[in-house]
This record gives sequence, structure tokens and C-alpha cells, in this order.
Amino acid sequence: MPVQSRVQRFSSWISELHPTGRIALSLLLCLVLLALFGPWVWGQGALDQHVELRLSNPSLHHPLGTDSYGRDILARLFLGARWSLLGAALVCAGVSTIGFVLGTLAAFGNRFVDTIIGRLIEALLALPGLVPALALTAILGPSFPNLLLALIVTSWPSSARIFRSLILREREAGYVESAIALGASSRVVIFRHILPNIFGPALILATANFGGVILGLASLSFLGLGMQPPTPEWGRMINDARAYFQRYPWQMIAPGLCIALTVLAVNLSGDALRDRIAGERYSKREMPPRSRRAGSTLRDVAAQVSPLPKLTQRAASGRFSGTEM
Amino acid sequence: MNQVERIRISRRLQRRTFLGGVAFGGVSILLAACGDAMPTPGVAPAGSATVAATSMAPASSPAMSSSSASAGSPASPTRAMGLAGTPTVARRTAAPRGELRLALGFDFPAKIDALKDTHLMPYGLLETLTRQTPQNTLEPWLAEQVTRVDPTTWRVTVRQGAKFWDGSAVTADDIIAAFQKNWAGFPDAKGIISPDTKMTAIDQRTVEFKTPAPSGIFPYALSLTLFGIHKPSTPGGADGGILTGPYRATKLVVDNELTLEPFADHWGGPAPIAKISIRFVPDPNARLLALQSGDIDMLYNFPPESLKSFDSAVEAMATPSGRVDLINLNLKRPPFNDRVVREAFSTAIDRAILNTVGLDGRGVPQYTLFPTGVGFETIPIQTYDQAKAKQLLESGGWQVGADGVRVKDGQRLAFTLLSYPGRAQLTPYAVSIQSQLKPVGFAIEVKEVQNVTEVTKTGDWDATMKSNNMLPTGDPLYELNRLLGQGGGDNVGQYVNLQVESLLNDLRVELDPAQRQQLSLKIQEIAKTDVPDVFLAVGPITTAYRKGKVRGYTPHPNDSYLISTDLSVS
Amino acid sequence: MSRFLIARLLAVFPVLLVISLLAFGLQAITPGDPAILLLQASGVETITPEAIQAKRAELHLDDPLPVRYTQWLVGALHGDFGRSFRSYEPVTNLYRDRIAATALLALCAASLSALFAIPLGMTAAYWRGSWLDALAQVLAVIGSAVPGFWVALMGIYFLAARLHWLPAFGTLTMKGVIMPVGVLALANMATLTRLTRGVVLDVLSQPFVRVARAKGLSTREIAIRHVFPNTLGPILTVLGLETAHLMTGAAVVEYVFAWPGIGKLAVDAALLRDTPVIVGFAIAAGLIFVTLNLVVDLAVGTVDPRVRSV
Repeated sequence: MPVQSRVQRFSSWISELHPTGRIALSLLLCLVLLALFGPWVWGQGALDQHVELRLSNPSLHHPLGTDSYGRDILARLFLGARWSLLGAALVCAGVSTIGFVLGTLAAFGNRFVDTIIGRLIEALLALPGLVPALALTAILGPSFPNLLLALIVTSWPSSARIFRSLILREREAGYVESAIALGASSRVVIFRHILPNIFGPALILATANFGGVILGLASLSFLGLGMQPPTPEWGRMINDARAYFQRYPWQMIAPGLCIALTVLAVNLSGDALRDRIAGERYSKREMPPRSRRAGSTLRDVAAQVSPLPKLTQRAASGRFSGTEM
Repeated sequence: MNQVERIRISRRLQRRTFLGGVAFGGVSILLAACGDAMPTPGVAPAGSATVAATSMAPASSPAMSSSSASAGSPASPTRAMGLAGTPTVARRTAAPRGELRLALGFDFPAKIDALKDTHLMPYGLLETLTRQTPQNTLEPWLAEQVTRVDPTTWRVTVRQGAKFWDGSAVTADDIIAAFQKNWAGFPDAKGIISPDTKMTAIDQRTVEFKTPAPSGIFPYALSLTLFGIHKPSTPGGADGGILTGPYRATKLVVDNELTLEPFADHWGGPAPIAKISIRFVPDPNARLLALQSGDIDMLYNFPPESLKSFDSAVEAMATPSGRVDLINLNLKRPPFNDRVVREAFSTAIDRAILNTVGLDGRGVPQYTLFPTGVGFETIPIQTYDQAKAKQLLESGGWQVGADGVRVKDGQRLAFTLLSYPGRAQLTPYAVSIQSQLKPVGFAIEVKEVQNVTEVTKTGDWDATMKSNNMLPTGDPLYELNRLLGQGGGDNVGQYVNLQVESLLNDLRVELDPAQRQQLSLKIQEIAKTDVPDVFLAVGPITTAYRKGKVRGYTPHPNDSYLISTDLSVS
Repeated sequence: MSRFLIARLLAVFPVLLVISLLAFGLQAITPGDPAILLLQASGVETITPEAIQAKRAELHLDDPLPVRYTQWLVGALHGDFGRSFRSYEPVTNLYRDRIAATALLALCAASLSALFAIPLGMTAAYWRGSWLDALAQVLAVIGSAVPGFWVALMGIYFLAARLHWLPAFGTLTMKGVIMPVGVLALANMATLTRLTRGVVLDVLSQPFVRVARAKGLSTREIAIRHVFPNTLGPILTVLGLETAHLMTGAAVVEYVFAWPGIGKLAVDAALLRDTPVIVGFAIAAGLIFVTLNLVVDLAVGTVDPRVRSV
């Protein structure tokens, strides 16, 4: 397929999004660009200390002023965006990988493995949001990689749970059954047949958690468990600004707004994309069956992610909902 | 008047009252008692006239008692000296009233047990036999009198009417029992007063201590929390739950709140405040706001940059402290096993910038071991000169590598500097040092951990930020021993110098205050060459309270004293 | 109903068992010798090898892991979760002293958010596309995007420091409760509005609503007789879940307000690696979660008989 038509298809696909979604997506794109090129375009160094200029008010040279070391706050926000977005992306990727592996094991393994993984998921979902991650980071020693690791280790269950049901559903589909009947190995079935088919929903799942992960990262960094000084990270910047915020409130307001804006953009984009994809699949009025265990259709994924309540599957949702902050 | 001025003035005042005190009482008393007129600042053993004038406790107007011998040479074994409070105490009789609400962010008591918690003294719970005055002199406290009979014999008489919280009188036997438990419970205590000291009850209220060797620090050591007076909550128990302080705890929720009420039978009479509630609020900002919004009445040890935030309803002050911020270096491994690196490191740090960044300019950049102006003889042993630092490294074989970091024999001049959030200024120092030393060729990684002691114990560390109270006793030996002595509690970098050890031994047995200061200076000279630690700055003690509500507050350079019986509310 | 109850009760145990295993595992991987840490916490400063050995024997630290786990579990069943590495207080006491404050906060925040979010979510769904719907959506989106700790700090700055209306940190008084409850309710409201709206939309698309419309019932009647009863179950479920999350997930907000609850206890413990207290939190959180879950299940079972057959 020529590149041209792909781009065209993509742009037409995008243009069919809800306007809010389009705005959110462009905002997100801007943020990513700022994170990538901001520090480079904005000449000020995020780590350069100018004590003589410390705690100065916003000016042309420093549009957001300087912090207590005389470092340019805007430059720090740009660099901080990089870490927040990269960190959240890594966590989402890690969570998806673990979710996929364990989901596959549960779906393809024997009953015993399935039960074990199922219980593990259930138990972990009963543990609340951030405290396990907090404890794990503290035990591993505070650093950014450890923080990411702790977030991955404590937030994979909801993803594994959804992967499991997705895979189970695909396995029961006709084409997979025929592949198995033709003697394809499990590995071939998983990687050739199932993975490509659940890729879309998996991506949605990952992005749906993205905003929550950014909030989680910021909260733990705020407690001093993430990025070590002097590297800027939004949560940590809020913490550092606390001592000065009566006289220089924007030092705390700015990183807070950055977090809120990013999460907002991510959530809205995720919602729009999800609606778009869900609409595409079920445009033919084909309603998925509502079976209790394996009844996982894309719509159910969207439901769990959004998260609409399901009487029998409710614990999966909302691990990083705002209440946990 | 701005705060800097206030600090200067209060420091001037302090020195003036202090010197005045020495001139008024100290000198004459020293003359009378010791036979040598050496008004060396900070070592006058008696609070004397100054103390009586500005003292916290109206009950004590100490005077020297020269009991047995006449004046002699400093080394004379027949010389007697000591401290005495007036035996007849003007007891407070006014009924306690009002409530004082405080919020604190660290050193919050975890247990009302003097053997398990060393943070009870600031709250008026624990008392020691002697104590330091805000002028950094010594006065009797729970003791009425401390007398040296001969160089190795001390007699301590407990105050008439001193009682434990359970109503029983404090007897000589109680003192002996408390000391024995203190030695068993605190290894540090053994290094200060020998556990081989023989204790005998002379009468109901008097204990005779016979030290194995002359001990110059003895009366000062009695003021340490480690030698607090307590008794077990059940007869024969192993704890130290019953104390003598003017306030006692009615409620303690760990890490949350502590409520105090006056102890009616305190030897000085009931304390003036009917209820003191202390909240543990770890976030300095929240504490500050709580004072501004009137939720608490008094605030202690907050970050100095907050001084600007108060309105006119709050009286805020920054006064000199004895707390020194420093860096401990791990001498057991590279790069700080190289003396040249240590000296270059120290010489490359501009302490004035640290003072700006960490203390908003309210502290004092420090190049000496002891803080200046609090009564200790001390000399500059460190300097700031980046050119010299570079030159030192060059001559030591540390050449600038391709990435700007110096290298010697394949070893990069890179290390991790630990810090902790408990004291707000330390991480800013570390971040500033990291940036300052980059052009000199140091690659520093800053790492903030909650508990540095936990890390330094493992031996796997290079350098750590620290904040040490340099005057818990008012005598140089204590902190010199802890910081530079082999196995000392603050000597985490494991510095060992036999010359220092021998000088410390001399210091232990030296009785003459002036000689003690000279020995202290000799040790400081050695530290100048060896650079086992890097001294950075002295932060002020910050206090703020609501005007009109809190009365009688006198700032004390030693943060072991916060709630005294002079404090009242209206 | 009783069979349903028994089934639900039995399902609780495996969850708690796995949580206990995980919590014990966390304890096992924590660096540092618990014997030394406990001796330090108990105030012993000179720690001799003999004392360590005695303590290790007392804590069964030299036994194989499965044996240790069993012993620990037996203790836990008797309410003994060991002592804090810092204060040497029994972990059970620490939680007992703080659970009420947290429950107060969670219940207030849950009620407040329910009070606003449920009507808002319902009306938003009912008049889909109206300005009310837009408002609900905006609230939901913003509420879940703003970091709670930051809102807390902003609240402290404006309401406490600037305007002096409310205390700057959490106190167990009427005024002291307002800010923490408000901050928690804000985020909770976002989730709850969104969920309520979704549930109502779901019910509205059901055939029986169309039938009711076709029968010519008024909008109000449909809402009261058909829609509301059918949404009650899911909303109760969500509310229960959110309350559980508030009880155990409000840690950072509790920390910022110095609220004397279990969340702050857990954050402090985690920051200082006080493993027994962290483990206690995991168990407490698990218990709270399954209990509330059970309560919700029973409540939903009462209002919605369909669930019982499942």
C-alpha cells in the first residue's frame, strides 16, 4: 500500500474523531514535541544554577521565573515533561508485557496455572493504588528506575485480567481453532494469530492507563521516591516548591498544571480513540454476547477501561482513578 | 528590623551578656574557686549572675560553693569547684492556665521512656542533674549542688523536694540506679563518664561519684539527655518511664500527637501552662500555615526562608544555634581515602552560596569545626578557593579527563553524595555543591534517602550530608570525641588518628577549663590537615509564635531545650 | 439468599490468603535483619550477637520460609502482626488507633461525592447532550486529571494561608474535616459521575425502557419506576468500591494534611521501610476491601434479585 494513501486514510480516520478528541490529540502531540525538542529549542539549561538570580519573578528571559537555585523553571518543566511521558510510557509498556505474558499463560496453561494467576490478580486488585508501589520503591531504594519497576509490578493485574479474557475469546474464534486443528504450535498461534488481532485493544488498554500512571509517578516523586535531584520531574518540582510557595506560588502551580493538562489530554485522546475503534467494530449493530467469564469483547474492554461497572467484574477498574492520589 | 540584623544583634547581645556574666560573677568565682583568672568564653562552669538575671528557672539562682579547699593551681588536687542552686526554692504557686499548641516535624517522641527515647528533654518531660543556660553556661537543675571534692571525686546533691511523677522523692539510690541503666542502655554514655565510676549514697540526697581518672567533662556530662534521671514504671522494671519533668504526658499517639499537663508536685511548683498539645506535622509548609492560620501557637525550627512569610500577628526570630551542617566523608574507600581529594573538595565549596540556597542567607557560612560565637574556642580550618582546589588536585595527580571529570590511575573523581529530607537545607546544599564542583572536575551524584544512618552503617557510601548539634554539653570533648574519636557516634567515616586519640585522652582528664580549650584547638589543627569532615554552615534556630499568646520564651542555642517552666500563655 | 451469602463468604478466603502470602513475601525481601531492627526499635543500643540470636530465635527467623509463613499466619489470625521497627508499638494497635479517622474521612467523602455525583450523572444521562451533560463531562474529566495532592496543597494555600478560613492540616474537628473531605470527594465525584452516567445510559438503552415509552408513560414515571431501580445495583456497587478505595487509597492526601489515619501511617512506614507496618497495611486494606465488597454484594443482592442467581 502506498504511503500516500495510508496517510490519507489515517488523516480521514482522525478527522472522524470527536472534536474534543481532536483537540486533545493535538494538545498531546504538542506536549510530546515540547518534551522532545523543548529543552533544545529553549536555550536555558534546566540544571544551570545562577544564585544571583534565585527566586526571580517572571521576565522575558525567564517567563516562569527561577527557583531557589536560580534555575529557569520553564526549562525544568520541559525537561520534566520528558521524564513524565517517558516514564509513563515505559510503565504502560511493562504492564502490557506482563499482562500479555500472564494472560497468555492463564489462557493457554492448564487449569491450575489459570487458577493461580486468577487468584493472584484478584488479590492484587484488592490492594489499593499507590501504597504497595510506595512500599516497594522504598524497599528497593528510591530511584527513578525502581519507581517505574514498582509501578509495573503493582499495576499489571488489571491488564493481565483483560488480556486473559481477550486471548480466551480469540482462541475460541474459528480461525484459531482451525489453525490448531492444522497442527500449529501454541507459539505460532499466539504470535501469528492472536497477537495481531488483540493488538488494537491492547493499545487502547495501555493508553487508558497512561494518564493514571502519570499521576502515580507524580505522586510518588512528590514523596521523594522518584527522580533524584537535580533532575527535574513534575511531582518532585511541586515538592521542592513547597517551601517557597507562599511567596512564589507559581513555582508550584506551574508543574501542577502541567500534570493536569497532560493527563487531561491523554485521557480525552484515549476516550476519543476508544470510541472511534469501538464504533468501527460494532458499527454493524452486532452486539457481543454477555457471557460471564470469557465474555470479553472489545466493548467489554472499553467498558472495563472506562470503567463502566460490571457486577461480576468490577474490581478490575479504576486502579489509578483520581481517588488514589 | 530585618532578620539578619536581628541575628547579629542577638549574637552580639549574647556575647555581651555572656562576657558580662563572666566579668560579673564568673571571673570572681573562678578567681575564688580556681585561683586563675581566665575568662575563657564558654567554660565558666557556673551560670552566675548572668544566669540569675536572664535565667529560665526563677527557682535557681546558682552560686558557687567552694566547700573544702582554698584556691590552688589548676592542677591542684585539693582544689574544689562545683555548682550550686539555692536549696530553698521559690516555688511557683499560681494555678496553671491556658493551652499551648505546637507542631513539630522531627524528633517527635515515640515512647515516654527515657531509656528508649532520647527526645524527651525538649518537651519538659525529662530532667538532668545539670543543664545549659541559653548563654551556654552550666547550671544545676535537678541537682541542687555539684561539688568536686578532689580531681576524681564529685558530690551531687539532689534538690530538696524533687519528686518523680509517681509522687516519690528522688533519692540518691534512684540517681545511682538511673546512672547504671543509662550506661547499660546508651553505649555513648560510657565514653563520656566511665562506667567504672563508683557511686555511693552519702545520705538521702547526695551521691558521691568516684571516677577512675580525673574527668573534666563531668559536670557538663550530667546535662546530657543520656544521663537523664528516671525510674522504672514498675518496681524492678527495665524501663525509664517515670520522670521528674515539670510536664508529663497524658496522651501519646506515635507520629501524631502528644499532650502534656503540668506535674503538680514538681520541685519548682506546678508549671504555668495547663495543657500543651504537640502535633507531629512532618511537612514544614503545613506547620507554617498552621501558625499563620492560628491553629497552633508556636513553631520551632522551620526553614529560614519562611521568615518572610509571616504577618504582624506572629513574632518570628532566628537566633544562633549550635547545630552545624557538615559532610561526613568515607575515609575507607576512594576517592576520599585520598587526603588531597578531601582538602580539594572542602576548598572548592563556596559556603556563602550554600547559606543563600539552603538557609536563605540567615545562617553563617562555616569554616571552623565549632560554631563561632557560642563560647567555644575555634579556629578556621577550612577555606574556599576554587583555584587552589584545582591546583591541589593537579599536584595530587588528578588530571582533567575528556568529559571534564578528573581521573587518577583510571579512577574517576566521581562519587555519590547522600542527603535526607529531615533537615530541609541539606538537599539544597548537596544540589548546589554538585553544580559548584562540576567545573573543578568532580562528578557528583546526589541521592536523597530517608535515613542516612542506615546507609552509612553498611559502609557502602562515599559522602553524606549531616547536621550535628555541636554543643549538647557545653564542653568541647563530647563532640570532638563523637566526631573525630575512634568509634565515636558521629565518626561515620571511620577517621582514626592516633595523635587525636592521645589528645582526646588528655582532654578527658584535664580539669582546667583554659587548658581544655587549648587541647581542643590542637585537635582542630589536626583536623585542618586531615579534613575528615567538611563544615558547611550553621543554620539559625528559628522560632515563631503568636504575639500576645506565648510569653517568656528565651531562644536557646541548644535544641534540647524548648519547653521550659518560663514559658506561659495568656 | 443464604447460599449466595455463603458462596460470597467462601470466595473471600483465597483473596486474603494470597494477600497474606504477598505481604509475607514483601517482608522476606526487605533488606536488613528484622531482629536487629526490632532490637534497635525497642531501645537497646548495644546489640550483642547473643541478643540478635535470641531475637532471631524468638521471631523464628532461622526457620525455613514455609514454617515462618505458617507461624506468622497463626500470629496474624490472633491479631498479632508483630511490632513496628520504629516505635516498637504492636502493629495492630497502630491501626486500631487510626482506623476511625480514616473511616470518617472516607465516609464523609463518599457521601459528599454521592450526594452530588449521582444526581448529576443521572440527569446528565437523561438529558444527554444538554449543558448539564457537558458540565458533568467536564467535571468528570478535570476531576480525574488533577493530582489530588496538588489540589490539597492549593487548598491549603488559598483557604488556610490566604483566607484563614480552614485549618492548614487535618484536625478531627468540623472545620478540620472540610478540606481533606473536599479534596478526596472532588476526584471521587469525577469517577462517580462518569460511572452513574454510563449506568443510566445503559439502562436507558434496554428494551423495557423502550416498551415503557411505547406504553406512553411520562418521562418522570419511567425514570422513577423503571430506570432508577435498575441503576441502583450498579451504583451501589461502584459506591462501595469507591469507599474502599477512599479508605485505603487516600494515602497521599492524608499525608499532605497530616491526617491521623491509616494512609498516612502507611506512607510514613513505607518511607522509612517499616515493613511490619506496611504488611499490616496490606492486610488491613485487603480486609477493608473484601468486607465492603461483601456488604455491597449483599446490598445489591437485596435490591436486585437477578444477582443472586449468578
